[in-house]
Amino acid sequence: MSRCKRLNSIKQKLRQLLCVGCAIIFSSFSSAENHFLGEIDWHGFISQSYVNTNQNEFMGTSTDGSWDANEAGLNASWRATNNLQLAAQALYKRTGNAKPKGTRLDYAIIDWRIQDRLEYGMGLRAGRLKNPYGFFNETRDVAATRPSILLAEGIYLSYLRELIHSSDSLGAYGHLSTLNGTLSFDTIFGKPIFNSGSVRSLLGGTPTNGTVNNEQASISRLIYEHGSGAWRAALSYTDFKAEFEPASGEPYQAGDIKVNQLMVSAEFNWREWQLLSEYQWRTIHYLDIFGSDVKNKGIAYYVQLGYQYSAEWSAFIRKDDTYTDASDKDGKAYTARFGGARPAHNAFAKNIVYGLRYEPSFAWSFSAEYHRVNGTTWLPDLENPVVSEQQQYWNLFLLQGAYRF
Amino acid sequence: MESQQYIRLYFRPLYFVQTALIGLSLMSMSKNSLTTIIAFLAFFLLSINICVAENTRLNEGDAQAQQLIIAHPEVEAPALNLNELRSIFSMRARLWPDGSPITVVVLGDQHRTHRQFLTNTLKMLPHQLRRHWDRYIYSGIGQGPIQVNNQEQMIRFISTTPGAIGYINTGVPHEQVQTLELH
Repeated sequence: MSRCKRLNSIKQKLRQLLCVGCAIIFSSFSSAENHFLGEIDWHGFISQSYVNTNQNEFMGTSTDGSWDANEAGLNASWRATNNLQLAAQALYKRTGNAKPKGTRLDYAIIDWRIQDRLEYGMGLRAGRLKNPYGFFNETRDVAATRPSILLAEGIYLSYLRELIHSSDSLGAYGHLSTLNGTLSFDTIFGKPIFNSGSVRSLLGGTPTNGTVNNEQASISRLIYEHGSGAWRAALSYTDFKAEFEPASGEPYQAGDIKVNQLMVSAEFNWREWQLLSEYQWRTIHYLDIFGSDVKNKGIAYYVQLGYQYSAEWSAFIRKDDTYTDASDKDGKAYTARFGGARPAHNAFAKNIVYGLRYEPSFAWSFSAEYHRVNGTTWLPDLENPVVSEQQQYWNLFLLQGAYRF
Repeated sequence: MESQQYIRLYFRPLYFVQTALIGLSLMSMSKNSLTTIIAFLAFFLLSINICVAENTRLNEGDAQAQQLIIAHPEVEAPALNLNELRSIFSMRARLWPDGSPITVVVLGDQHRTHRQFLTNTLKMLPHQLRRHWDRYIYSGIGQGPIQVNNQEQMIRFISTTPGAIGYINTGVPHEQVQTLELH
């Protein structure tokens, strides 16, 4: 058994090495001097994290120190004609015991630019698209593009990523230079990419072998950004619905699940300082599934203050809070609803994060982060199956090294 | 001048953050000593490195060279304004007014000429421009710029690529390319 485990871990290490190898080979092709593979533009990334918690398991067996958190991707884009672009990305991602493991198609996009002027542009997209949600959703798997190792989990849930991550969809986009800045609009309509774990997450962590059908998502975002990059603000809206069908013998009924998310995002940059904040209202509505209608109006937000010490060094401090039900912040009603089977601290998570990053070049980045968490909303049951053993107060320490080209 | 910079160094807020981190790590020592020790060592080493990096940066000096916008001789863009130039360099616009494709050529993110071009001409924060490119490169909705290693390569590439645009320091010979005016 343990030999099998070790073999798997060796296999995994080999796979990572292979990814690094590919990354380095492809990076040598992508320089301007070397026009290998014609006009195709290749890029990729790889990162490895170390996770340590004092109690509770997060991204693997983290109380012993976990290396089960890594990601690697390779993408290609090709400008077929002046207004038609094709692009696709393969992604390997491992987040502790969360599915899916292995490599999968992350996006595959046909982008048709209908209007293209220096002052404005608009177009249509089709295929597997990244959902335009908040500031960071589209590039959330690329370490260097995140302002921290872990994005605010209450908003960018690692374990519910399929719901907000990407969709097989149709999209429209546009941008307009106005008032010394740029106004951009993105909207998509389609089917989110799900797996068996997503159904359980959708039901609020409740164990189920049920299935969802006819899932639909529509997501829109409006961003204004000042031309200098000094500040930007965004409004994002997500509307998701699906039909739930329980497995035979389960104490649930068939019914609809509806999720609405509204988010306001803002970022201010002043000299070496950066102030970043996003505030999300999430309503999850279960029709018939639990007998009567259940509606959870949750909120999640964070405020992050960053300091760019030099071109290479930066640090930040962040406060992020999540409440699954804004009218039940201490979780008393929540635990009563489950007859005490789930603790009150499952209903909230209040977190303070301190982080540091060293970026010696475009390609490399090294980060460290320390979280002090009160609450377990985004602590996955998957890693902590004995709910009564989940601890309210826990600390999370992460290290991450990342390479990209 | 030097001593003033050193004084400023002492009051950098990062030190408060680090002190807080070390303090908090010590507080959590009773629960998990390994985490604490790793955190403590990491931040101790990093704080030393920051001092070194910061002093290197201060001693680099800051000769304020000016930059010229250069383009392939056949590019027809008589009068670009700042919004249009930002639209080109952030890779939003893909075509010149005559319908031919734009190719943006840049030096590395940390190259001094690149940073000076962003500050003096585009009047943008370097990290903000990189953020636009990253979104295009890693979410499949656009492409990033072509990167070259030095100004000689920049001139050579632009002079041989129709629709190409870039920048160089004033005083670098550039007969093979045209310069664009900003209005």
